Parts: sequence; C-alpha cells; structure tokens
Amino acid sequence: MIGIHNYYANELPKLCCLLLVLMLIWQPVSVQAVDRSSSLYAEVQQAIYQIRIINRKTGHKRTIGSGFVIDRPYILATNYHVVSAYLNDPNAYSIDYLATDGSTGSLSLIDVDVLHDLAVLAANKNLATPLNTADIPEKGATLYAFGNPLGLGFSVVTGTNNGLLTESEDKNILFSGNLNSGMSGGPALNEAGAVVGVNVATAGNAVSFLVATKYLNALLEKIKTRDFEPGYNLHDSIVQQLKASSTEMLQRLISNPWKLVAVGGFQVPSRIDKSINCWDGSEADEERGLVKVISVNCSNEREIYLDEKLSVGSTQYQYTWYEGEGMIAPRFYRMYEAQNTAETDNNANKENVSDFKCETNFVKIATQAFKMTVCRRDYLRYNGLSDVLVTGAMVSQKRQGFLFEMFLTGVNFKESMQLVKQVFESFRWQN
Amino acid sequence: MAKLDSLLLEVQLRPLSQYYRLTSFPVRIGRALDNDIILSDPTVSAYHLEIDQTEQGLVFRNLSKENGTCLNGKFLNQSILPVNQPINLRIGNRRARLLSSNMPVIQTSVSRCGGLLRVFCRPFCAIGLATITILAFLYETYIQSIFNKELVYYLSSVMPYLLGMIALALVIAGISRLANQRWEVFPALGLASLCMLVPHLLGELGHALNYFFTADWPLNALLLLSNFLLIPLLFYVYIRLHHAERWPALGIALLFSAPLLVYQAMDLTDQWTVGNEFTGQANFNRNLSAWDMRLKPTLSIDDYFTETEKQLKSANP
Repeated sequence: MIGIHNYYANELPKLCCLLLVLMLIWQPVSVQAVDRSSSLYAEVQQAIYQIRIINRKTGHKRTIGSGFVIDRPYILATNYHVVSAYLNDPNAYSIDYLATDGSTGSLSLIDVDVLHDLAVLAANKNLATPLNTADIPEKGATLYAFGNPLGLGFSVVTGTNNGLLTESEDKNILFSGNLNSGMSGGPALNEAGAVVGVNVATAGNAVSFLVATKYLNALLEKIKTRDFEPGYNLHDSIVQQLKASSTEMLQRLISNPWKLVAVGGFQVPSRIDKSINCWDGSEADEERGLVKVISVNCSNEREIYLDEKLSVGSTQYQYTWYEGEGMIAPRFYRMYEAQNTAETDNNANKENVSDFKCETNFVKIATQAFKMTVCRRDYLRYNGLSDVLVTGAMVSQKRQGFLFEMFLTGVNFKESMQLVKQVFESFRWQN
Repeated sequence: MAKLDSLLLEVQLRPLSQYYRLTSFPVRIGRALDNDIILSDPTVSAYHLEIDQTEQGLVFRNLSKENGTCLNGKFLNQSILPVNQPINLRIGNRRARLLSSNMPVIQTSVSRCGGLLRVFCRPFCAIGLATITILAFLYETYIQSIFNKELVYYLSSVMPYLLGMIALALVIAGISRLANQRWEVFPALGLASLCMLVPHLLGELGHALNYFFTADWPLNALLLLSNFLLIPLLFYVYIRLHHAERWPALGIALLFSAPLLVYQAMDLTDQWTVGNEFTGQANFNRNLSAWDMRLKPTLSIDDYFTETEKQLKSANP
C-alpha cells in the first residue's frame, strides 16, 4: 500500500495532466452513455427486483439486495450472500421481492452456488420477461449495473468492463463502476441489454466485481434437470460445494510446479498458484535495531461468504527470517520468542467452530530443527471442514530464526496435511 | 506456696513488660493516684482490683464496675487461688500476669544467623544480594532490547526496580522499627531483594521448564507458587529470625501478606473466567529457547505428520 502511495505522490503532476485530457475527451462519450442507460432502464426495469430478507418476528427487512428475472418468468437470480440469513435459519426469516412498480410478493429459494455467490429464487407467479445472458464483451466496453443501492431506489450505474480476473480463484469480472450495498445480486448488462454479470462486491473507488454469467447458467442448467423444484437439502449441497472446492484447490496447489525463493537462509516455495499473491513484509531497518528481518506473506485473498460472521476458502502463509549477528543468544531469542505469536484473524464464533486443538512436536526440516505446531478446529455446521493453523520456529540456530505460519480455512484436515507436508519437504537450507 | 517477697505483677507492654514486686498485702491496683500500683490505662477503673494473701492462697477481688477483671479467662468477682503457675489477668483491656520469682524462665532465644539466613542479618550478604538483584534486572533490560544502547540507558531503565526495592526495604525497616524499636536496615534490604529476585528467577526457571516439557504448566505452577506462597514464606522466615515464636510468626506473616494474597486470588479467578471464554485463538506452548533443551525428540517429517494426524483425529478433546 505504501508503494502505491509513493507512486501517486511522484506521479501526481503527470496524473493531473492526464485527468485534464481525459475530461476533455470524456464529455461526448458520457452523454452517449447516459442516453443508453436511460433507454436500457426503461427496457429492463420490469425484470429488476429488490430482494428482501424479512424477520418473521418483526415483519421488517433485515438485509436487502437486488435480483433479476432469468430463464423463466418466475425465476429470479441474486447473490447467495443476500439470502444467506434465510438459509442459515429458515424458520426465523422469509424472502420477498419489491418490484419497481411497488408491488411485493414472497419468494422461495431453489438453489445456491456458494463458491460464486449465486442464488436462484422462484416466485409463485410470473413476474416479467426473463433477461437474456451474453458472454463478456471486450475489455473497455461499457456495462450498466442495475440494482437498488442502500434501498434508496432502483438505479443504474455505468461502468467499464475490465475483463475476467483469470488469476483469482473466483474468476470474477472486474467492473470499473461504483457498486453499492443493496445492488448485490442485480444484473450488469451490455449495450444490448443482455446480462453479462451479476453485481457481487466492491473494493471502493469504482473497483467492483461481477460474477460471470457462465456460473449462473451452470446453476440454472442444474436446476432445470429438477424442473426448477427445490427438492433437496441445500445445506448439504453447500457443504459438498465447499468440500469439492477445497479438495480441488489443495490438489491444484500440490500438483503445481513450485518455484523456490530465498527468504534469509532458507529457500521456500512462494507463489504456489496463480491465485496466490505474495507481498514483501520486511520492516524498515531502523525499527529493527540489531535484528535483520526478511518477511514474505502470501495469500489467495479469497473469502467464500457463508454468513455475516463466517467465510472460508482462504489460504495464507508467511515466512519470516530473523538474524541477530552481534547479539548474545538469549537476547536474540527473547526477541525471537516475542515474534512467535501467530494469531488467526478470523471472526468465527463458538456457534460456528469448535475450539482449536493443537499438537506441538519437533521436526527436522531441511537439516534444521523446528518447533512446529499444527492446530485444527472443526466447523460445527459444515461437517468435514476444518480450519488448520500450522506455525513453527526454527530452534537449531543461536542467532538466526525462521518463523513459518500457514492458515487454511474450510479444508479437509487430512488433505491439508498433504499440502503442509509437501511445503516442509520443499524447504532448502542454503547456509 | 511462694514467699511474700517473691511475688511479681507483670503488666504487659511493648516492647518490654513492666514488673511490680508485691511486698505488702493487700495490694490495690487502679488508675487513681492513691493505689499501690497505678495503671494509667484508660480502660482501667479508678479502683480496679485488690489482691490479698491468706492461708489458702491469694484472694483476688474485683472492684471495677466498668470493664471488670478477667482471671485465667473468666470474669472475676472474688476468687482464691494458689500461685504455683502464672495467673493470667485482664485488668480492663490491659493484660497482666501474676508470677512467682521461682518460676522457670523460658529459654533464651539464640540468634540464628547461618547458612542461607545470612542474607537477612549480615550487612555484606544483604548488600551483595541487592547488587545481584539489580544486576539480574540490568541483564533483563539488556536482553529485552534489540538496539545497541549506552550503558546509561540500561542503568536508567533499571532505576525503577532499584526504587521499588528501596521503598520496600524502607517499609519493612519501618515496621521493624515499630515492632522492635530497631531499624534493621540490612535485613530489610535482604528481604526486599529476595521479594523481587526470587519471582524473577522462578519466572526464568518456569520458562526453561516450559520449553523442556513443551507445555505451559511448569511456569503456571511456579507462578502460582510464587504468587501465593513466596511472600508469606519470606515474611515468616524473616519474623522467625527476630526471635518470634512459630505460630505468632506465621500469624503475622499471613496478616501482612493477606492483601497481596487476596489480590492474587482475585487475579486468579479473573484468569479462570477469561480462560473459560471462547477466544477463537489457538492455545499452545510458544516458548523458544536458545539452548534448545527439551524432552521431545526431533522427528523426521514423515514421523511428524504420522504423530500429528494421530493426535488430531478430530478437534474434539
């Protein structure tokens, strides 16, 4: 983040010039865009709905999102995270819709795809002509995202398609436009009015994400075989989806060719998959005194949303090298021990997960002895999934230290151990 | 029966009791100035107690209408007793004993200053111990820092410990002054040093044992020991050294450590409460040691995972 900041500081004058130029050439383009968005709105507004989760006790809405008619006149698509409260407690909540003309009605949940944050709902009557879907247009094409931001009213947001994020695991479309909460589940349309993505998330500053329609189509195909009936246990289906995704990811990580990079005295695997991003985490020398620190953090930056307090699918690992030449060993180890405090930044609560159970042993990795701990905690409602924390420190050197930390959420424990084992076996000691 | 001239009234005062030799009977005791023995205690009546001698023994007659007199633990009206053992009296709130000069005296308390106890009584040892304590804290601040600093930096960071030690020594010396009329500065310094040094050393020992056993219980056990037993024990030894009897010494030691013990107990219950709450954090021994002395062997990667998977079949204990 600091790097980006500096970049802007240095490039500010250039950027200002660029902005000026952009503003000059932008004018006619944006006028044209407004024209199309207003005509599009008139064309599709009947197919756009607000989706509301109603607390049965109070009769008031708890979460809101957007949805659109797809495939059949009574079928609506939205995001899984819009309806997750209902799915986790169907007795406490109900789902209904609010149309652009103000009419309302109840909806039933047909199926979900938690991995791509999609849900399909059915109304008990025909609502509108279904929207068509289309492949993602060329990069730079204008897209129109529809929804009901913050429940303020049905809106259309114009933005630019910036293509599929092929390296990330969820392979969303990068949409340069301002999505807001409440627009989740709404359609993003091309000029022709066909759906190319489903609004799903935003990182602010016009960096937003759409779910590609091929996942929606796949989900609809699956439901078609059941004739659009719910008919089976959605929760079990979610568990199966999560398990399959985790197994697929772990197998992919294990079978990928790994490139080793040097972190202090070790050579370790860094970016073991395209979906994983690594950052340098070394601190400035003056903050570290006599200790030299080299640190690399890697993460797939993925969170499969399950409910407000629970998400899974993240893979994080971190290597940190410490070197304290000129320090006596107890002094070095005092600092080293103080750094050995791996904590999980996860807000899972005791309704969702068991306590961690840990096992600490000493293991020889690449000629060096490590004090290594593996902890697991199991998901209480997602049987067979666990969070796995692996953390340890090299203990065989007097003035050199190496901390390893890995945190995997929502994985099969036994499968995760294969990955961890392979990581250990890949370490090389180069001193 | 004791001879007339050998009877004594002992009025108990701190630090030394007062003795009145009873030469002519009857003896009248009270606060008024025309008594044979004048006790200026405000709880003593003007004319409080009369002691006379007869053939059957001593006759005790209570004259007080206010606080009265206790004789061997019972309220007195009039009583005749032989004097073949000390007679305990309470005149108002003032304790006294009637003694005979031929009664045996208790054994002389001999100064016990040898072995480890020397730190409490030899000035040289006390100063040495204080110096060791300061050096231990100096070393501690040194290994805690990761920057190269001037010696004066470490000295300045050890000053609060020195200040604490001196303050503690002064409090102990002050109590000693009140109880014994003596300052006893060096024993107080020795005790203050031990109060600071021993918990620190126990902490270090606990850390080493934690690593040795790859567990958190050794340090926790030692901390429990140090928090609840150390201070009463040190006070007990210190008070015993000053010629106190075993049980009174224990009583005083417990009395003075009571606030600390209650504080530690509160702290412990808080810890238990917090410990039972769900934190979402993994709990395992994170100690590291430069000397790497431990019971657990270094496993091969294969053995490591066999063991881990065996122990972690599920997250339920």
